[in-house]
Amino acid sequence: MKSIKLLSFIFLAFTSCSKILEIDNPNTQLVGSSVFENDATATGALISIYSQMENDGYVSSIVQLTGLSSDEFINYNNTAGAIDLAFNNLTSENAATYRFWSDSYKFIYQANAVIEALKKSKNVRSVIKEKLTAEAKFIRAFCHFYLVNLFGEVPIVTNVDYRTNSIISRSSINSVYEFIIGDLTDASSYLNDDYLTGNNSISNERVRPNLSGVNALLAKAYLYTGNYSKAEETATKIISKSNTYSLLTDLNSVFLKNSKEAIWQLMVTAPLRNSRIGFDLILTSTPSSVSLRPSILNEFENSDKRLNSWINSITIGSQRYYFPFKYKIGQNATSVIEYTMIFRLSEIYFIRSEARGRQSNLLGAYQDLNTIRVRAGLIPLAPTTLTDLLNQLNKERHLELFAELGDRWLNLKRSNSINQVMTSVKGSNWATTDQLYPIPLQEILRNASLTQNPGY
Amino acid sequence: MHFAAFGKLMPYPIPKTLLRMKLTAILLFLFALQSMAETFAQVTLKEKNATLEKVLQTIKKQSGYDLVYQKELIKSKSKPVSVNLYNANLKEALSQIFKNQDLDYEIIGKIITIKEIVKTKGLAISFIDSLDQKVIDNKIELKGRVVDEEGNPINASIIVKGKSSIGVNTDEKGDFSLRSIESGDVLIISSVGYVTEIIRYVGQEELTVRLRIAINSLDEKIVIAYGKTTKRYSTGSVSRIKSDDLSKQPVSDPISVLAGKIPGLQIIQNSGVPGSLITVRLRGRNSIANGNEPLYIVDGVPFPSTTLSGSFGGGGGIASSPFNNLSMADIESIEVLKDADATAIYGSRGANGVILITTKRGKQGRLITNFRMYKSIGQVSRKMNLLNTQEYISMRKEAFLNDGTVPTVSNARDLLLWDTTRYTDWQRVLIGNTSHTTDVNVSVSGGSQLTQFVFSNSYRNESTVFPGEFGQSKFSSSLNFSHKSSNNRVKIFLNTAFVYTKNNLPQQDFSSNLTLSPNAPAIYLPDGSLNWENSTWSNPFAAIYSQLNAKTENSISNLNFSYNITKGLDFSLNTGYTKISTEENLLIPKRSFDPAFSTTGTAGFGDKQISTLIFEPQLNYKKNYTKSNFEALVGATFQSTYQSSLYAAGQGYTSDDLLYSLRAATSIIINSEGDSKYKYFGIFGRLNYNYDKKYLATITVRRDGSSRYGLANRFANFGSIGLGWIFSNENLFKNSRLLSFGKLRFSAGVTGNDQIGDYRFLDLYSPYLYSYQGITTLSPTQLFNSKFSWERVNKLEFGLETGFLDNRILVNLNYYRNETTNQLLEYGLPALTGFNSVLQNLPARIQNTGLEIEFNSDVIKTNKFKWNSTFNITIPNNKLLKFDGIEKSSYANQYVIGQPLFIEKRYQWLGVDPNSGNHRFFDYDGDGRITAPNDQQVIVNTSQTLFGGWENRLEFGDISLSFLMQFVQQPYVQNYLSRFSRPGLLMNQPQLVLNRWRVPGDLTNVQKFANSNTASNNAFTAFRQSNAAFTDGSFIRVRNINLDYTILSERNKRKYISNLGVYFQIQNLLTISKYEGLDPETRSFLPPIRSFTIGINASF
Repeated sequence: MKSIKLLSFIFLAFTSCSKILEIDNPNTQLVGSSVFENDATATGALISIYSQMENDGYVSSIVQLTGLSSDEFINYNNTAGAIDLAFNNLTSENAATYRFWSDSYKFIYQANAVIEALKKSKNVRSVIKEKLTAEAKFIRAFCHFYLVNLFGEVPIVTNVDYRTNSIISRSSINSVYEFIIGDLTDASSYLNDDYLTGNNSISNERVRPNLSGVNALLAKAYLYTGNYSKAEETATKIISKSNTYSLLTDLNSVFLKNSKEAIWQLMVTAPLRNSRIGFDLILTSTPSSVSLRPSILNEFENSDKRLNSWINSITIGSQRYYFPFKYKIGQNATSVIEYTMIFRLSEIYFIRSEARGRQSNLLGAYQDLNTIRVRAGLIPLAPTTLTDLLNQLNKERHLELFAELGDRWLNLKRSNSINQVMTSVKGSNWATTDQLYPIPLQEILRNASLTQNPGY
Repeated sequence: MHFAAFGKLMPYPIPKTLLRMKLTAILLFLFALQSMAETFAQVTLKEKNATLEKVLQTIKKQSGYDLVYQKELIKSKSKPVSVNLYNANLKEALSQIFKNQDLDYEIIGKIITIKEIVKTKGLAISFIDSLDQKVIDNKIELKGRVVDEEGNPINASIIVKGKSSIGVNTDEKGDFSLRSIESGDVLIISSVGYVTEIIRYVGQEELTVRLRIAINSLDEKIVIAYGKTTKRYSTGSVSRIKSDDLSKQPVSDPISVLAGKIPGLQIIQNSGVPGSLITVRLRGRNSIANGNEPLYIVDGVPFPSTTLSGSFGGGGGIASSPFNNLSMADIESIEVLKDADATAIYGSRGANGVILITTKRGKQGRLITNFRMYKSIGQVSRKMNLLNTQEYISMRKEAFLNDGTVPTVSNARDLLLWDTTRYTDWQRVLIGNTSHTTDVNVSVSGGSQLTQFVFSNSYRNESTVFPGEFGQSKFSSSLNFSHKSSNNRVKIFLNTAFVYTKNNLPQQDFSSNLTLSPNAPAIYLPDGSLNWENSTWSNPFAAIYSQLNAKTENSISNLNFSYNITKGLDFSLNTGYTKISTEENLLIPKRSFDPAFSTTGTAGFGDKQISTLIFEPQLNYKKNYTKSNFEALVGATFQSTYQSSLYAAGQGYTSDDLLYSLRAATSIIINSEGDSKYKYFGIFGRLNYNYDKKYLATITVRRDGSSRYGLANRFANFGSIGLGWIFSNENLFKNSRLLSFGKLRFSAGVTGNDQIGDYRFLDLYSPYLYSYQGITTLSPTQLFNSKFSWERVNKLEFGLETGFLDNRILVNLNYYRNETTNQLLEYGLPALTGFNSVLQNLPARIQNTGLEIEFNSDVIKTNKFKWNSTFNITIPNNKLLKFDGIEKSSYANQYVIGQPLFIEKRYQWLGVDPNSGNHRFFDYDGDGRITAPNDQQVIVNTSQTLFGGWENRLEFGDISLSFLMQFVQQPYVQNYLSRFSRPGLLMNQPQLVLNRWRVPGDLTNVQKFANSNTASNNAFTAFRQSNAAFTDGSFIRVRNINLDYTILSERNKRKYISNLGVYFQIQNLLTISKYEGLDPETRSFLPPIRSFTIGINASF
């Protein structure tokens, strides 16, 4: 009898409660639903994306990838992947292009997660919901913009459902731009000229995109899709805010944090560092990854202040290596004085100049172009033809925006001068299909709906 | 000669023929041994008028049987013997010898007893009841007790050989009494599972007989889930390794010693760095993506199989094995539980088998101090033939010549900046040192009849073959205590152990640098500082200063209480707690950096701990009827595990002396942190039934819950049935001389797998590394899926266990089939979903089948010479049976239905193009280009297709010699290319590249040398991804040779020393393999160490 009592005791003690398996959530992590029921953590989930973009080297990788693919950089990295990139002989297994692809979609996922969770959230203030959602849409557009420019047709990912996303196929370039413009238009209606702090109050730091940040990308998207009137209109919205944005006469101050020229920068929070781009590009010894291709030196006119302010070199033995010197701080920084520049005013002038020119307003176009030239210490040019304007813009963009977020690579492709320029630089390694990066093999293996770009 | 492997173009060579050949060899071997053994059961005698004593001694020698007789009796009563027999049966021989004697003999077990002919009673054993009362009056009464080594009563039978033969059995308490016994009588005490003890009675009134566990492996006690059994009566598949096999081996990880010894158990050593993580697979890979680790249980408490090496990757480039944190000397046995019957009671944790580790128990008796010490020296067991400087320089020059380019400082510093005549044998410098190991163990054991203990202390120190002062040391201390009440109803067992391990290893494996150019600069400058040769190379000796120091503390306590409620019914409670914590320091001082690049040091700080609490109440009921024996067990188990970790990095150290201080860093980053809880609960029941020692059945049921599953899927049911038929106990076989034991086993059941990590059903966010705008940033940790449910493994097994010639030869055959369904996968996703994978159930079905053959024979067993041979072989087979929708899944290009999970799809290599000198491949899709995945269509099966071991133990009196050979057949393993890059680049190459393509028309397997040639580079990249990157990695390794010399033993013990022995041991003496790289097992890591050990054992 005793034994039966004991038995039933044991069973009663344990079977009744599945509570026995209840575990607390981890102390060092938060459950998604609670993240988005609080202003601070919801904001933390969004601005985390900016921190990752800077500190994981995402933005810097755009500079390096496109710089090697185009004529900006010379490669010193001995790994096969880097050699392939520098010779425009990419394979679909290239790690660097895969990394860029997967990081882009990682940020898109995080932006989508913010958008979806905030829709359901009850406790985040609606004004903050709107701002965060608008920024998330901007991030989504930003990542899609670089994806479409580097890979061509890409999938548009608008939600976090891995079931549908894992079988998604590529969308046409037009649809991607339509999506980008749609997102940016949405975002612009919820943002204003204020920059925000981490507590969503007004900030003097330009490290979260505001309305002008959205407009900068929107103007670029309009320009890239040939909607010149909208491009001009949107660019003007930024340029007209001359109290906030102006070109600096001192070229050495342009890339300082929160400079007047900055429309959107990424804040630097990693220790011992300023901008990741400066960290990656400034040379202190024999280059182990890249140096600036010296041919750009010959393109500057004699009085161009940019040559001396924005380019530097180091001599080791008999060898002289050049490097971009827009950011002045490389390794072992003691204090942070520079942030990573994403959009700055001079590019907006270029956008408007081209948009005006394409709409036959050559006078206005040259006016904008000359604004940049004069700042660089050059003489203004008199208006001639559209062809002249476009050629001059190509050259000026190169000299003004070299080593900045792939502007050279994107512009070469857009202006259809890429085959000619690249053949002269890369010789027989260049093929016209090299304009697009390969869709990463692993992605095709895991998603049979994806097709490969021609030439890979 | 190395090119034989290159020439293999077809993915499937001739393994079947090979297999058949190997099987034939095994069968021949079995046959030979069997016929030898039969011969020794017989005797050959040729004597004329010899004394009976002399003839009997000859028989003893030839047969291996023991003799019991009184010298005076034989001297007075025997008559001279004349006999002429050739290969006669022992019984025949004896009957002939005793035909004319006034003496009689009797054979009981392996003992021949000689006695007077008792006219009245004949030869039959008489029981006390039937004895003549008159005789009894004159006898002294003896009260005795029979116990095992731990003092537990044993059910034994006692036979007294005096003027008459009488026999009694002990009662439940192990007590017996004898009334008709006189001084000089011989007592034979025997019990199943124990060594029979023969004692001369000298007139004492009380006697305690302690029986040792039988050497006969069939009746050895084996530890199983929540109990013990013997091989004879087990319905499950269980293998066992005893302490003698473990403690002498000069390694730190007890699990690694199992390699080659246990059928079905695959142990892969990943690196020769001391204490590095090993891969353990028991009966194959059941799960595509989740944990394939067996469950480890130390004295009833689960032990983590995950490494405690943190985010620094472990010392020597490889994570450390958690089993380092066990003390080898304290282990009594390791049992490996394989089939459903043996593992189902562990429910969801038993899917990949269970490994039980049992520590040593105290023994009743005087205080004994054991001392054991060994010292060993070791060196890398294999090296490669690499190019010398002259060959290397001409390779480099040829590469530039082929490219049509001129070497520049930036792409040819080895040719233009470095001394092109300097030569360094980097293998000798980097991995050519001698390692030293010292291991000492002192233990004290003893106890009374009711209380016993062992107190054991060990110290171990091991250095590496790397340059620099690296090594691992370990200190352990344990106390094992057991007590029982005098009425035998309450039993308490307590085990507490503490192990402290200190690792001081380089951050990287120095062998990764053996590809350095042979003319690379000098390591040191004349002033003794590191030479950076104007920043033209990264000095491998910088790693000498980059250390990964890890201190691990492991404490295990286990308390077992049991109470005998009533006859046959016992309650027991097992509680245990294990805590392992590791503190890691990664120190990278500034002197390990090229001063041109960095002038400050960095340091990493890691803390990780895992603690497990277990609580298991049980009720056990036994009931014996005349023929039927029942045993029932019900119980519950509750387990709670907590893990936490914190890794931080400090940067900007200006002083190398302050690297242990986090505060001295100018910046601090928290690399990772985490914590998780796991709770686990199960109730289980088991019923054993044994009818007439012939028919055996075991039924196990279990209901399990795990906190790793979402609320809807927390609980699941598991169970098994095991059946056994000991057919040798059937009348048909009872008198068989050949077959002494035969059992057929069958088991089937379901177990589960919950090795998926904690909280996978939750949508979690964790803080990102860096804040932004001064606030905490959060990013999603994982894709989540709240609906996944249990992965199930259906296990099926047939076993045939046989013993021949009095169990001198044991042969076991097992066939198993495990099928895993409802595969819970870390399902690979395209990165465009935001992550690379998600955990989900998929309709995939994986089958692991295998044949295990085990063979154990006492080939020769005489008093002077014994030879025991054990052989095991496993032929595993893994197959993906079903995977619905695989073609649309992310596994479409990874797995193929009907093929093992170990396949890789590769390019088909077609050799080197005689015209271009570059590798060529088959263009499957015919598009003129070699691209993945379309052209990766050759299937390479990287499985181990056969593995096993052959162990021999030879004893010549005081000397014993044993050796273990391990063999593995793996026709396709990653070849030397896993370490090397394209020939022609700035790195050294194996000698075999000298056979490269030089001029158009050359037919060879080695591509032309090139420094930067896109076509060559692409061809080589594809080459590494082709089937040519695989080679036959089969090997036979003489894993262990041990020579023992016993100087003093029970037989000739001295006053202060009862036992004294020395031994000599060699590990990894020889590896026979066609593999061209360093080692076919460790491949891209440091090869196993060949070590020579001298040890001493003493008891006081």
